[in-house]
Amino acid sequence: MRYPKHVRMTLMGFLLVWALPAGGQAPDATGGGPEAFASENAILDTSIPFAIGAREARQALRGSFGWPSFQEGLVEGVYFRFDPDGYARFAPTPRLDTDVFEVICRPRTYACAARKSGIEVFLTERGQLQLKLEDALAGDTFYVMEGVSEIQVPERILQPLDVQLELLLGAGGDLVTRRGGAEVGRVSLKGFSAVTAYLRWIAARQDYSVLPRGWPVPNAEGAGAANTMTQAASWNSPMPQPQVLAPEYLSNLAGAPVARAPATTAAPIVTGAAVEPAPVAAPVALPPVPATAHAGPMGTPTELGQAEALRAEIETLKHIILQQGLQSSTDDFERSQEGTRAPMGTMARPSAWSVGEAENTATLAQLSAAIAAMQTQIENLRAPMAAPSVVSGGASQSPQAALPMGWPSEGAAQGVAEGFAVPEPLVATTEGAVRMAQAETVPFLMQRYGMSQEAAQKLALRAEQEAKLRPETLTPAPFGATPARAQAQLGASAPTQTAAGVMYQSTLVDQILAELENDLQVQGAPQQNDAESAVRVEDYVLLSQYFKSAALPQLQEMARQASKTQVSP
Amino acid sequence: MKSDDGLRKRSPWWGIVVFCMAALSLGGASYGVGISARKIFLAQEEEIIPIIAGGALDDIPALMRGNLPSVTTSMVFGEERHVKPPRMCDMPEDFFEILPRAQGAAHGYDKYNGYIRKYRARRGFLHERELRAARVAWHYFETYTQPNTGLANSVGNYPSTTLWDTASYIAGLVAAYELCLIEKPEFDRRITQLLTTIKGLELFRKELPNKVYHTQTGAKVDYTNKPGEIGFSALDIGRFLVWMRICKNRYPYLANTIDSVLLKWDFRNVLDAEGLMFGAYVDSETDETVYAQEGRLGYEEYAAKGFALWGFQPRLAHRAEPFLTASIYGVQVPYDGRDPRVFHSQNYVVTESYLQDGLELGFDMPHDDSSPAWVHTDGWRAEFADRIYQVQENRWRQTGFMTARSEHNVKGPPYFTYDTIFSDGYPWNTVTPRGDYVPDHAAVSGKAALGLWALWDTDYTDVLYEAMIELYDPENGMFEGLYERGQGRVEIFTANNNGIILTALLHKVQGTILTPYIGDTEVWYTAFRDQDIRLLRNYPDPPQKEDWLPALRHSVQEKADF
Repeated sequence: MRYPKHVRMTLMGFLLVWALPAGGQAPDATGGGPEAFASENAILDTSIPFAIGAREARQALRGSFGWPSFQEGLVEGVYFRFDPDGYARFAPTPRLDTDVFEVICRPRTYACAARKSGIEVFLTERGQLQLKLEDALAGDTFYVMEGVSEIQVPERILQPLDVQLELLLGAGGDLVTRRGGAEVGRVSLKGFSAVTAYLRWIAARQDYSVLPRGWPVPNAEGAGAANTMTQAASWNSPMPQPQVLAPEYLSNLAGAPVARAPATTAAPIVTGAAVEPAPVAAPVALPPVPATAHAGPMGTPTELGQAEALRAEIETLKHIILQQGLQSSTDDFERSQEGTRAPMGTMARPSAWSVGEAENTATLAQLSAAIAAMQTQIENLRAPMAAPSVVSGGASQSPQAALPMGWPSEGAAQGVAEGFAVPEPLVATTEGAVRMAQAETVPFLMQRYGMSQEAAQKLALRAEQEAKLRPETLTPAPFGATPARAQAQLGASAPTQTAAGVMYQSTLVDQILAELENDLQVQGAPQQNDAESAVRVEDYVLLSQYFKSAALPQLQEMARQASKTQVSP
Repeated sequence: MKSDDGLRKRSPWWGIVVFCMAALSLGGASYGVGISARKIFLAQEEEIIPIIAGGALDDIPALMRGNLPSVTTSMVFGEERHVKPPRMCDMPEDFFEILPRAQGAAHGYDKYNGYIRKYRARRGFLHERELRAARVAWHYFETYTQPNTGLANSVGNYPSTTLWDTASYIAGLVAAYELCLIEKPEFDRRITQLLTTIKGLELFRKELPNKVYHTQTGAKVDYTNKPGEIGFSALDIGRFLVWMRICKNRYPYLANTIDSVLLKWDFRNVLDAEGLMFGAYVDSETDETVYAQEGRLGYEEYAAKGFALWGFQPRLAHRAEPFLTASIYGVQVPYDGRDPRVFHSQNYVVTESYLQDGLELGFDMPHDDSSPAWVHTDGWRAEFADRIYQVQENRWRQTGFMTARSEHNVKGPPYFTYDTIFSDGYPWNTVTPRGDYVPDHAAVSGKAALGLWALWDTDYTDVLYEAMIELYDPENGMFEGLYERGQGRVEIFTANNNGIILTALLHKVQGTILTPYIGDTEVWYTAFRDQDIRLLRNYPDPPQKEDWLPALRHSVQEKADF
């Protein structure tokens, strides 16, 4: 019993020693006080203007602590001021006295929330805006009211906002909550768009590229342009830029976070391999990347010497693809359409909000490089293998066209690696194939069955429409689909193709890809839509065979009826 | 022509001529006798007025002026000099019964521009509730004084401070001693350690103390309490000089230590030739020192008097001009006329600076050591202070809002507010240092409420007293205040709040805190006379009558202005 007693006493002593300073210093005495002005809490540089016309100002401090500088300005009809710790106020009057959006950030993080009476706006883990209405209950209806006109908005405004709802709320007016027809809450939306831009600007470490299109951004003044002029990622311009993919989509494509969430310009969309490590953090910890991942595309890999490296890289790739697949959702497409309005890439993810995790950026950049290298390798390996190709209607196709439909071309893969990848090549490949099949079908019908050209074209068109309506039909990957998803589609079809005669010449690669496909099928299946995942061999059935099975009976029936008609008189 | 008897007959003209000649002869003789007699009988030695060295007629060289005594009103007018009142525990029971009172003195300016206020200050022993508040307020300093340096934290357990807040600590220390909360050994230990630390502080670019210091290490720090330097504040230094003078005059045995502290400082840039005060900050781009005028109506004059107490002549800083007035609840509230849009400095009107002038300096001129307690020789300051009080009472009477406005800390963003009577063109403007309007942080300030209670003995201040006197946490001190909109107490504890509350309580017992200097000359004035240091650092000579700041008056508001 002596021993436990000593342990107890030691513990009590430790607790006493631990508690003494806290109790003696009365933590409540200054909680939320001077400690807030520790330099570690400064997350913003007030010398970088939030918008054109904003200025950094000094404030006269009477006490011993505080922020000596702040920034103030006017944008989108609201005045604003913010401190280095992110604390900001937005209001339509220069006194910032009425109708104020107040932004408060969690100390030492980029997690900020904007509050106005009864409403709170914050960024979700995925960089989407979300509202929280204090007085809202289940069953309430919501309206955006501007003067005497009003429009009802769906209840999903309480979920992460899509671009349409965000634009609607950002247009101004009042957000009215009604319960049983009676108004129970009304919040002005003045300053909503400015404050949401501010939230994103903070999360992106004051990167102008995340600001909405048309935002009055100074020309990178004070942004340290001198040493980044040659880096496309750092180019900022107040001019409207071409609509490009949302960073989320791009990050999915590349399997890596997008550097500094550039969304208003096309050029800055690069993977981590193309830029210096940016202060972003990975959503979750990733496995260490093999040393070979740092290397560029392999030159002429020997089979066995590079096998282990290839396997390790594929493992990494699988991990990333699976992760991205799990995170993606059906609103990817909407956000990809969102363009500049939903520019939050991985910048706003929760782990990225923590300043301390910025060092993961280097790891992500390495992973991105590995992914790009992997895709190139896969393409290189696959190109000679695909030589036998799939025969289509007797017409020979090039090795590229012989690839299963939906498989990204080498150019597309290279584009992914360079950050320019878009899904159009995927769509173009599919449509081209359909058109080609149609072009082959018409002369076939004319020659084989003696149909007129007009009838043959109508028949081919009808067959094509029916084919589109069938769920089993191969459809272009959704706009927001990721390479992972595209490869998942490929994975579903690959075994069939293998059975149909597509032979891999390298058993090693065959084995690796088979493993990858199996994993994707098992783990990624619940996330896939039927339309996306079910690509079957029927999709590749020749149109002539289809014609025989579907159109020929009808034609025979028509011919039979025609002959009856001729006989009956 | 001859007459019948043979005598010649003289004409009348002959007689007249003879008479005139005789008169002239007699006159000449009389003058001659008179002159001679005057020379003989009224002869005196020639008058020679010798010029005595150091005397009034002696044009003393600068190097020798340190020997002069500082000229005060008691010397010039032959009035009896004030005496330091005894500690509360040493006071006779009838102390306040025999205290001279203003009997029937009409309020207004006198012929010397002194001002007699409409209201009187509270005087008397502390009651139990007041004594308890004093003990709690002092407990703040007991809790948050750093044993290594003797410096007290400005805010709770956050280890940083300014000279302003250090002056508040000294105020608390003096009050604690005079109210018999601590005894002399404790007082001496604390003040000696503090002064020693202050003397050893590294100055801002070898000029004056940095704006902020770390209380645990005594190192100069920036606003984030990291090692660095910010600049210096003329207002903070001015307040510190007030309390250095109070300590030196009350406790002559500290004089040498105090003088040695100040004789390390360089005053060449803090005051210009016109008597305007300048603070300093560091240009973030060039890293050079930038001097900028500091102070607005209220604080500026108070700090200026701190400099004047040490022989400086802040003539411009002590004047109210440029000032304007805003009519609020019938009271013409004076505010600084320098446009914030031009000068980028807020012209906030708060109670605190007037309170400090009244409590510590009695609204008197720096050279006044003899006027009655109810005559305030810095007349316009007292008259303006009356307006500051009146407008707050009027607000309470017309709106119901209990009002005692000052600057104060708040818990959470924005952490500090100027809770003003008027600023930036708006009455009752509660603003952050950067200018945001934050009415939710409007509060009844504890220091302002009890300061008003001490200086204005009215029904309204009785209400303030009831609201504030028990607003404390026994472990940490007096709360900063009470939110005006019902959010409860301002749960933060500061050196400034507790120091001023102790000062207010001490004023009730002893009256004006500043007492006369009882020595003849001072090391402050005699040191370095054999070197050029005094010239380089702009150390002043003992002020003479011609160096006195002028006592001025401004137009008095006779009736309410709505």
